[in-house]
Amino acid sequence: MPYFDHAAATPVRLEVLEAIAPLFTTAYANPSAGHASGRSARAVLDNAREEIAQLLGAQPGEIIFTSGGTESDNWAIAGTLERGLREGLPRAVVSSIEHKAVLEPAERFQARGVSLVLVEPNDDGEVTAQALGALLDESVSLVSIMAANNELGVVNDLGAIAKTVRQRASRAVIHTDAVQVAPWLDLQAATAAVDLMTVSSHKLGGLKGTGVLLAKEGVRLDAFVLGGAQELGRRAGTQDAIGAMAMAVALRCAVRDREIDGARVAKLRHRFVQGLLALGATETVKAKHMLPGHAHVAFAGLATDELLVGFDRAGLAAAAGSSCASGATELSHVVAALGRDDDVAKGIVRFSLGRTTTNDDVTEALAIVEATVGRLGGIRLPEAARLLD
Amino acid sequence: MAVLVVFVCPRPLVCLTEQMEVAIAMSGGVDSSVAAALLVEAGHEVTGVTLRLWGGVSDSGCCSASDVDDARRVAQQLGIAHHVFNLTEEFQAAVVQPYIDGHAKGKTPNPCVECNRTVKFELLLERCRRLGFDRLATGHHARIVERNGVPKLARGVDDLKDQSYVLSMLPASTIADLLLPVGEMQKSEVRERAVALGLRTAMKPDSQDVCFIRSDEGREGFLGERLNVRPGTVIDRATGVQMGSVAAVQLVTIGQRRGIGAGPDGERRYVVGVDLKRDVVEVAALEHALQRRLKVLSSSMTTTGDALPLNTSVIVQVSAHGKPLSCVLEQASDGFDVVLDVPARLVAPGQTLAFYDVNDPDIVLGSAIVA
Repeated sequence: MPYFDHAAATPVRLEVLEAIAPLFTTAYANPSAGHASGRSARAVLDNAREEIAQLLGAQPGEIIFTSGGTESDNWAIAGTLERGLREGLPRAVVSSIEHKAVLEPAERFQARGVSLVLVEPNDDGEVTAQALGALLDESVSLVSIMAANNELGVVNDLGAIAKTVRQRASRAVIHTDAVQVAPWLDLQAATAAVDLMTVSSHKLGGLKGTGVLLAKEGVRLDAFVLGGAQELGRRAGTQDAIGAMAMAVALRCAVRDREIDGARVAKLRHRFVQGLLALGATETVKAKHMLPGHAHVAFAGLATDELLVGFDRAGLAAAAGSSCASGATELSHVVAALGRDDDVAKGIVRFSLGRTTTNDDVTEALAIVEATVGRLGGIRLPEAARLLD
Repeated sequence: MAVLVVFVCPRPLVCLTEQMEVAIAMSGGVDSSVAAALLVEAGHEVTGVTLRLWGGVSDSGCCSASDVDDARRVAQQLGIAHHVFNLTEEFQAAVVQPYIDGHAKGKTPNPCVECNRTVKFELLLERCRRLGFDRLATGHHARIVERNGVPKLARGVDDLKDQSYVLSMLPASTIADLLLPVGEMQKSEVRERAVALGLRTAMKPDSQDVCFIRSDEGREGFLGERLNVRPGTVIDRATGVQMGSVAAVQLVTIGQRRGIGAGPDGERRYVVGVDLKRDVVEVAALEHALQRRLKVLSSSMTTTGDALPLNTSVIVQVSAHGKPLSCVLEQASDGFDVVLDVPARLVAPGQTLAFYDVNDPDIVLGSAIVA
């Protein structure tokens, strides 16, 4: 049963389970409570915060725990735009292929007078400093460019992006959604480059429901969740010490293993993609710098949801970029931004390999893809060939 | 002494001896929920599929997120896989747009028939075949029965819930791949079974209306937003007297009585003509709103097997729950004439006619669309 959907969620690491299991009986109290039990829970929370700060190259006071990547993104955008409006900075520049957790809050602020400018990716799915630079001026309050795209796996050059922003929009706050890169790449350079960064635990082998918004010292952000003084008064709500510790352990393991895992997974991905290409599939983007686990491919002439059900019936878990409230797949805004032909765009699948993926998984997955594609009538080669032009 | 035990299956086409891979179209309603349960009980390998058809807001039928949620939950309760297929573009092109265009031309198409024809039993069935399913099942109240070794579409056993009319256009090749498990049951039995199984859809009200039209907007609201509706003058055909007006002449249906009122003689009036060039609605008393001869184009004729028999008695049904009428099909220059034994109220152009076997009155023979 090959699981090729690690970009959506990863299996919880055993080290995480072992680390948190005893905490359910020792660190259950409210970390804000002044009694001994509360202090124990608080110590777990603060240990987690300190470790995550160190692993990300930040100070403990810069780590704010949230309910996950979506909340961190929402808060980064809304908090910054709120301040920007007050301070007479009405412009926001984000890429058109950001996660909806960034795009939707930014769009909502348009009604309040924010002028939202979208940077388009290049043909390889990369958001470049050059493209961004042309849209910047001193009225920009927020620039949000993801470290790597969640669907495509294309990694952006945050260093170059940040440099351009500092030169041309000196008052802008730079946010990056680093949810997808966290399992694979060293985030310390990204931390140094930006003001706000989103990280999520369950992509790392931690638990769903925990995330971090890294807010660099001096970056002022309006509170988003109200009703308490937790997280140094910045984010209300009872803190989840166990979830925080799960994230710290997951991140520690990811940092420890990522060089070896990354190289191994990249090799598996290469073999997998070569196998898909041999079946007639095409890679939707050919960027130089990709995450090791992502394979974003088009099966020209076939339909995404049909492919996914066919794969699922044979035991292969994969995904499309986007689904609506009902669970039906929709053409994703990321694919739409790439401007691919309809018959290619309608047959796109994201496979995401991860640290638990084995060589046998790749063999099995390729056999399933071959059988499913054959059963569904095969890839229409003329279109596939046209794409390569 | 040897005892011969004869197992009599209450639902012959569900209890097939071979285990099959069956896709069940689950709308999130009680009928398809119970249909799925029956298939699981019969030992088939069952997968639920729900179609996302309408991209806009809806409050009933097979389109809303909460219906998908109900279908998913029932699938979980039954321990079967469940998938959602997004067919919104296809539904818009094959069902919604023709519905709007039809009204613009003064026709009254049946969107449920078109959805069954093109979306459920063509696109979905094709997809299920490609995905390796042996059969497609739905929760329609109709049956598949064998006649001379051939599977035939038949009325459901619950007269009041019979849905064979909206399936009457299915070809033999589709019928052969279809399972309709609840057609063998009374609706009350379906609900009882759902209650016994603890399905959350057990007491869900039946969907009544066109799924893409919200109850608070109605047909008028929906079409009014999408068509440039014009007011029309209502004229009594016999006397030429102007009786009043209608707000949207394109939404008036031949045979319609609702909203028309009574003539100067105090008798109820029925719509007998809609002239979209002059925006005039002609009405008449009932005796002048009857017809014996319905014209259908050959291109709209479908059959569930052999060609429809000409010049001999067949049964026709002109609406989803209409009374079966006796008629004869005659060849005409531009198609066929359906000649009723007894004149009946006018049937609007675009409406579907379902034909049944006079000697085996549950069996569907085919369908046609009124020209």
